[in-house]
Amino acid sequence: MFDPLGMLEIFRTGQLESSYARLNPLVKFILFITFIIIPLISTSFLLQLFSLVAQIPLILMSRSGRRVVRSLKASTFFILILIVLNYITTNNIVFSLSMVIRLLTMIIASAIFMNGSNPSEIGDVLSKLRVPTSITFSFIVALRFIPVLADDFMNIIASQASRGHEVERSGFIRRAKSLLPLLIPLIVIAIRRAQQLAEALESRCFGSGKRTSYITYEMGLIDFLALAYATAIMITGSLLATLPPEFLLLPFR
Amino acid sequence: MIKFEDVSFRYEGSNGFAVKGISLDFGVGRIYGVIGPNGSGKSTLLRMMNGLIPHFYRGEMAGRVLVDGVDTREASVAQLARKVGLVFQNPEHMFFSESVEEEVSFGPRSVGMDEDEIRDSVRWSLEEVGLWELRGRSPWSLSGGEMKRLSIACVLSMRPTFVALDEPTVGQDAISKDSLISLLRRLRDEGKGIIVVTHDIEWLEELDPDEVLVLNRGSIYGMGSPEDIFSDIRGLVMNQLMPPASYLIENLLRRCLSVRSAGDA
Amino acid sequence: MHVGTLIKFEGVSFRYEGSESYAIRDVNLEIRRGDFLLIAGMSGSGKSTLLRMMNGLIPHFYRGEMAGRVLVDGVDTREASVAQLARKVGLVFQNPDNQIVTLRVDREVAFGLENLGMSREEMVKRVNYALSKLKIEHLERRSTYELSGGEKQLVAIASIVAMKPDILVLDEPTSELDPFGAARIVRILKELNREGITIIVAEHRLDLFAPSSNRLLVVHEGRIKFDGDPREILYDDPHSLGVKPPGVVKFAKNYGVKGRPLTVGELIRAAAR
Repeated sequence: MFDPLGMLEIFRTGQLESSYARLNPLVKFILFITFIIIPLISTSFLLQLFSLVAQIPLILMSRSGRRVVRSLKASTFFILILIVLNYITTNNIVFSLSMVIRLLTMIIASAIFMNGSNPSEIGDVLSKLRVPTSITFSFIVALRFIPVLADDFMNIIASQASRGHEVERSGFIRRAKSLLPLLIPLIVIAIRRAQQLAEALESRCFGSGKRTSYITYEMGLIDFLALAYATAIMITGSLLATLPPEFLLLPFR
Repeated sequence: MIKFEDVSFRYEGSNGFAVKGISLDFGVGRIYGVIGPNGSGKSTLLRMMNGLIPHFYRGEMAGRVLVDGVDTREASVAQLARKVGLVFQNPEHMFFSESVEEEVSFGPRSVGMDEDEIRDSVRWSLEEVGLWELRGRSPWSLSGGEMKRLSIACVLSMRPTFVALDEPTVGQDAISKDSLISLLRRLRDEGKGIIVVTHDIEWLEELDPDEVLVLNRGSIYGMGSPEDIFSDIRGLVMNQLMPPASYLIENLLRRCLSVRSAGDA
Repeated sequence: MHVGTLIKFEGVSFRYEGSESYAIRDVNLEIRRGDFLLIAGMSGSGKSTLLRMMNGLIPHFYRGEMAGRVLVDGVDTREASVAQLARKVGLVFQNPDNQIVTLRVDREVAFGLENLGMSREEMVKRVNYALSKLKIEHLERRSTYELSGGEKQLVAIASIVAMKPDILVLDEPTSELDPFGAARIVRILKELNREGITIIVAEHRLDLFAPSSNRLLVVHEGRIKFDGDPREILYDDPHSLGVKPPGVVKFAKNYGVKGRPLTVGELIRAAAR
């Protein structure tokens, strides 16, 4: 139930082939932002429910079903805490449920976006949004080097294990000490890689002037349809938000 | 003795077997050279000698590996480290101490040797690799060849019976490679079993191992003396290996000369 | 300076900041257009320092004390930036993992071109050119982390070739490759050299590179101990300089074969006479 690594799943980008994946990345980003912003407009239960349900076509389009389920499962702990805390403070079950559904909507939006975009695209979107090159570049380089450093770490653990080293299980200080033979080589290697990378970047004229882009994206019919959908969601959501929250409870009276 | 009894291993998440049906013995006082193309299972073989497989690398293992009679599945990697010292390709994956001396004492300390033993062992292994004079230096201040020798000393200090090295000549210059040859021969003469995995066939020829083992796609293609293996030009090429220049030249010359004499006749 | 001279070292010495000894001393060198120069020497002999002085990394990226000057196509490296020099001198480093910065091969090859602010049409042409020169068209859309060591090395070289420098400098490009991968790189470099690109390689593996090079430089303790025909030095006394002659040389000397062959093919022909 409490699965921190599973929650990190949300950040892992996918390579899945789907019609959603073929959308212009800026459009994907707009859809993502739409479903983050809309639930925040008001606390109306109706609005939250609507936002959740409106993503179903996107889940199908991006074939993210499995990933969504995984992300939700990983978040069960936090969801329960959220419900309980909200109920304790407000004594309003409907409100508590709204808050939970809002969280679910955002988790699903992230899962869809991450599943249908590759990191390079995300980097391109960030550039387009005028995020400074240093930040977008750091993002891509970090993703590029995570597997490399992970491999280094595996090799370090194997090397040290072959010298009889075992990670201590008990005692905080003992445990920390036993991690030093693993962490120090990793840090040294990471710094060395960074230095060589910097050299290589200099030698390829990085940072010497205005950069152009090799990859371009086009807008097709499906992109405009997706934008239209996002707009429709925004409008409907805003309308629902203006309805009084008690509106939904009418059937229950 | 390291004994492989019909051993197969498949890494978790992988489709094929990295090694298949390997049955082999490695004895002390001998140098074994292991060659093969990429993906032939050379590294896997080494990892099975000190228990990294199956304790550290998950997967499906069949058969068993006995190190001096002990099944590697039943002993821990730390226990096996006292018998089989595995030296990896990149020395930088192990250094974390302030001095060379401290670095070399890490292994013995981890496996629980007592202080006197550790002191003797550290001195012996540093002298063996010729780094005793540099014992106060920081490991990262050493040259490439010195670092390689330090990584070997780090493993020797646990006094293993066997020393297994994974691609020890990568990135080393000629002087360093020569000193490696004399070191390995000396260790062999002192009664250790040496197993070297390499793709540097010229260097291996000069090392002149007692036995050469050819692996391909997880199985043993052949095993024999260097002369037998290196002169089987066709066999080597079939396994995507380049024969040593001298064997290749002799083979080609012999064929050219026989063609000539056939032409003369 | 000769018309054909691309890089000139005039009395160059360099000491890295914080180091007591000089990495290179009194280097005088003229590299001519069309050269295929092989630089040999032990680790720490100064090979890498020499290379880094060719594109300005020294003195701009590495601090230290420099004497003398290096001229690249007439331009003093102390006065031009690395970015300016890198348009003429492309430097490929030893470890491709520490050069590859993007997640896809075609993006990687285009990276340097993006830095140069090139137009998209031109970039597409250059990427195709580089991929075909290195014969890795099939890798165009592959993720960089899926590549093998050899493939990564080829991609690293392709990304510099795409920038079309006059001079291609490589620091131990085959150290992690098996003999077949290494031989492939030699063939590609030879082809590029035939097309007019000046090649400078620092390498230990002389048996692979010596036959293709027209000039061998032996660096020892920071000084150039030999500069000339590879056959001359490899047959005379390479050991004193920490250089190991290829197997063919050993064989030819043992059997008294004349003609100083460097490849098996040359050896056979020489022996047949």
